[in-house]
Amino acid sequence: MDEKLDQGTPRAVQACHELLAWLIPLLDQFPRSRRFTLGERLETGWLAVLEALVEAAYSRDKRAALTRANLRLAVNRHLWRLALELKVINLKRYEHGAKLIDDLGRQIGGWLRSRDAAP
Amino acid sequence: MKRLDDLWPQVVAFENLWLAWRKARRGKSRAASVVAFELDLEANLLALRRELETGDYQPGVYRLFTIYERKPRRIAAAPFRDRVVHHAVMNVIEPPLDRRFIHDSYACRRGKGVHAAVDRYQGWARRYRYALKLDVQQYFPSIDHTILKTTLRRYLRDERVLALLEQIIDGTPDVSVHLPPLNDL
Repeated sequence: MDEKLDQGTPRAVQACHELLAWLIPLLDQFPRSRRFTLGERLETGWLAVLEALVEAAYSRDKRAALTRANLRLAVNRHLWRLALELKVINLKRYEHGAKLIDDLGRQIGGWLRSRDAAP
Repeated sequence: MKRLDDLWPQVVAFENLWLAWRKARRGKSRAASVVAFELDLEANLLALRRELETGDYQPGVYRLFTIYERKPRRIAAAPFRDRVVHHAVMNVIEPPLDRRFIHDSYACRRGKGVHAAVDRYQGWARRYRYALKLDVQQYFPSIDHTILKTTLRRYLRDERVLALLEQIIDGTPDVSVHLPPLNDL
């Protein structure tokens, strides 16, 4: 494994990875009418966050990628709330997801503020 | 009566905060402060929960203004996030506390209100020859904070809930209106 990634696999990447591993099987339980619209958006949205985070882990200037990750995360949070409001998920599941999202968001925020991401 | 205990976990449960947010926004969903809170809803609710848990929660500053409907009233409006907290506590303590109230208390209670009070009064007025008409001036603003806190302690046992209530009570601004005496005019 690449040394650079090995020594400091930023926790945000891992957290996002775990989020996806938890989320995707859930999306498959969405009713068909939602799986290919809202569910699809959530899946692509979180994959985009993961991509941006991995990109940040490997690039010298992390700012741009991290900002992009943050923005996508905010969109995904709203989609997640929408899933609750449309009763595709229940409150318990929403709560769990919201916590994972919040933790991830704070990790990205911390990474952005760290010297690691300084321009 | 047994003093209520173990309420705190119910107060800070995510589900309860969510419900409190729903109640707090009712009729106000387009207000700027509500919209701002909701842009980051999950983060805000979770932050509120963390602050309540750690005891770092600090109520904000009330916005004071006066309305002149019928008679001048000072209104103290709490910031939206504080109103969410108010609902979160009330969701848990109101039902059991409300049951301890006498039946004929009509202010600020579910299913009560001026109309119910008037109906009740008219019923009694037909039965009796005399009625005592009495008004407690500035009733809510004039409630003594120390007495209120002691009274709450008689019904509640949960220290964390009591601490939060006391924090809210202590932070309440004085909204009493001092009407000028007639001879000043």
